[in-house]
Amino acid sequence: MFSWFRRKRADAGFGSREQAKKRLAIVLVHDRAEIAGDLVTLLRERLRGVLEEFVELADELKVEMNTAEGAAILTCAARIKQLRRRSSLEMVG
Amino acid sequence: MGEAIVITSGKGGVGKTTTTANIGTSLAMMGKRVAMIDADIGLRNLDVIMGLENRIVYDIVDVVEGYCQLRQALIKDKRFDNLYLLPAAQTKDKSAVTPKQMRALVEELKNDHEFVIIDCPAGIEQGFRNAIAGADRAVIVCTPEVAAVRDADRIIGLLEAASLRHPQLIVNRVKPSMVRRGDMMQVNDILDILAIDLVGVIPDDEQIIVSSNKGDPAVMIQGSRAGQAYRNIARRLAGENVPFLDLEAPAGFFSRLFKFGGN
Repeated sequence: MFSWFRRKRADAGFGSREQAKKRLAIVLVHDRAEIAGDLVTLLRERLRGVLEEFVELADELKVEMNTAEGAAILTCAARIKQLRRRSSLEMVG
Repeated sequence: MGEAIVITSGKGGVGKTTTTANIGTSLAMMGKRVAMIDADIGLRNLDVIMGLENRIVYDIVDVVEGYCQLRQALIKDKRFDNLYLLPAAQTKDKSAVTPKQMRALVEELKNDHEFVIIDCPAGIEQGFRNAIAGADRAVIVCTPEVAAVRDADRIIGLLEAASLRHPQLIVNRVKPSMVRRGDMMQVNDILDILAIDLVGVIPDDEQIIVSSNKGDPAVMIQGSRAGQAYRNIARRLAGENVPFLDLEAPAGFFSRLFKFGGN
C-alpha cells in the first residue's frame, strides 16, 4: 500500500531524483560548452598557422563546433585572398 | 609486465581511497601480485585505511629524491605477502613529484607486479596529473549526487585529453531505500549522463566505517555487501565476466536497479 503511493509519487517526478537529473543536464551543457570554447580557440590558432603556409587569408578564419544527433560537428570556413607562390612554399617547407 | 589502474574522481570524499584499498586487497586475495601507490602527497590516507601506518619508513618522495630504493619504501601488507603499498609523503606538497618521475616509478613497479593501483588525490591540478601520468587505464568513482557526477564529467574530459580513453565507472554509496522512493539518482541515470561503461555498484554499507576503524579493508569482512561488490569489481578488472550483484535487497528493487543491457 505505502510502497504503491511512494512509487506513484516517484513516477510523477516529485522525488528529488528528477530534480537532480534536470539540474545536472543543464549544468553539464554549460560546463562542456565552456571547455569546448577553449578548445575551439586553440584549434583556430593552429589551423590558421597551417593554412597561412599555403594561402593568404582574406579575413578571420571561422571555426565552429556544434552538436547534432549526439556527434560533434566541426565547421571551418576561410575566405582566401590568394594562394602562396611556389617559391615561398618551398621556403616554408 | 603489469597493468596500472588509476582510481580517480575529481570530487573529494566519494571513496577513492577506500576503493583503492579494497580493489588492491581483493586482487591480492585472488593471488595477483599487487602494488598500491598513494599519490595524494601531503594528505596520505591509504596507509591508515590499510592499517599499515605504523610500518612506514620511507615514502614516495624519498624514492623520487633518491634517499632510498623503491623496494625499501614498499611496505609489505601484514595479511597478504603479494600486496604492497608505496605510501605518500605527509610533509611535502604535490609539486615534490613530477609526472615524468611518476611514470618511471609506475613502469618500475609494473615489472614486478601484475597490478599497480594508484590512489589519485581530489582535484584537477598537479596531484591529479601526477597520478594519471603512469596509468594504463582509469576507474572513476562517483556517488549518486549532482556535484560528484558533475566532477566526474569533467574528469572524463581531462582523462581523454591525456589519452586515457574509455574510463570505467564505479557508483559508490547507493542507498536502495532512497532510490526506491525516487530521492536518489539510479545507476542508469548516471550512466546515461556520463556515457561511460560501468564496472561496479557499491551499496552504502556501515561496514565500510567499521573496516576503516580497524584498518582492515571491507573485502575481508564476510558479511559486508560493499565488500562483496568490491570483490566483484576486482574480478571484472582482472578480465573475468561477473554478473552485476543481485543484492538481497527488498524484492523487485535490485532487478530494476541492476538492469543493464547485456549484463
